[in-house]
Amino acid sequence: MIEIDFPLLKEKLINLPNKFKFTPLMCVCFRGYLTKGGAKDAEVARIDIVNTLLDAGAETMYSTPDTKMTATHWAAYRKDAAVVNALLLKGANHFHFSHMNRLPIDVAGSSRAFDVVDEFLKNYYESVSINPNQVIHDSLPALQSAGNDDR
Amino acid sequence: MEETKKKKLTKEEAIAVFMDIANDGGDGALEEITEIYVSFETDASGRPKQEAEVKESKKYLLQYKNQRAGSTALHLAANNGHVEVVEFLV
Repeated sequence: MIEIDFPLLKEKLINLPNKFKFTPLMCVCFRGYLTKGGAKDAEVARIDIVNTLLDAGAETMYSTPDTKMTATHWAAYRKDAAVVNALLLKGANHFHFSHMNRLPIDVAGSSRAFDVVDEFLKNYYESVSINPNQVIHDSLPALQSAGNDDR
Repeated sequence: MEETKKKKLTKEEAIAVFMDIANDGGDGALEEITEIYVSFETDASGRPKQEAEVKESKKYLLQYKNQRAGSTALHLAANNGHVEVVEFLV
């Protein structure tokens, strides 16, 4: 409906943050299931919703101002390899640090989601293979600013 | 035979039901949410509204934020995994 009835408002509505500064994409990556259903039932619905929102222009680079977590951090935290893959394919940043100086891959590792770690490595390897200079160039600002912090 | 006529909801009631369906999903959610969305094309007495007025009220409905989390219907449906509702809204 948003796409058909309000094409000019689409970007705003799809990426509108709520009181907790979560966009709809972040909501589904963070949770994506009804309480009575439970987390284990969420995976099929979650990936479908993520793909729908991404196709409609949901922003993968957005992070909340307090935790600096992106949707990719949350998908990694939820151990959802399919969603992480979908986000990375739409250009999600490998090198976005959270307020705890954690990259999405770090979150996957600390959640012991090794299939998700593999997904990050595989996607990064593929993007480096295609265009090595671009990937390194894109990641430099984030890595440099992280290097300036006391870690 | 007695004919049962569905009572038209007020704007506030319709928004509340719309948000509830986005939050809870379930069987028939898509039909119900479509019905409410379409009902914004007519006024309280069932007469069609002007195009500009329809646009304005539908925009208000899609942008409406609940009090607890400041979430729109899209946030609620995404948060609770209601694929069909998200697809309808998007």
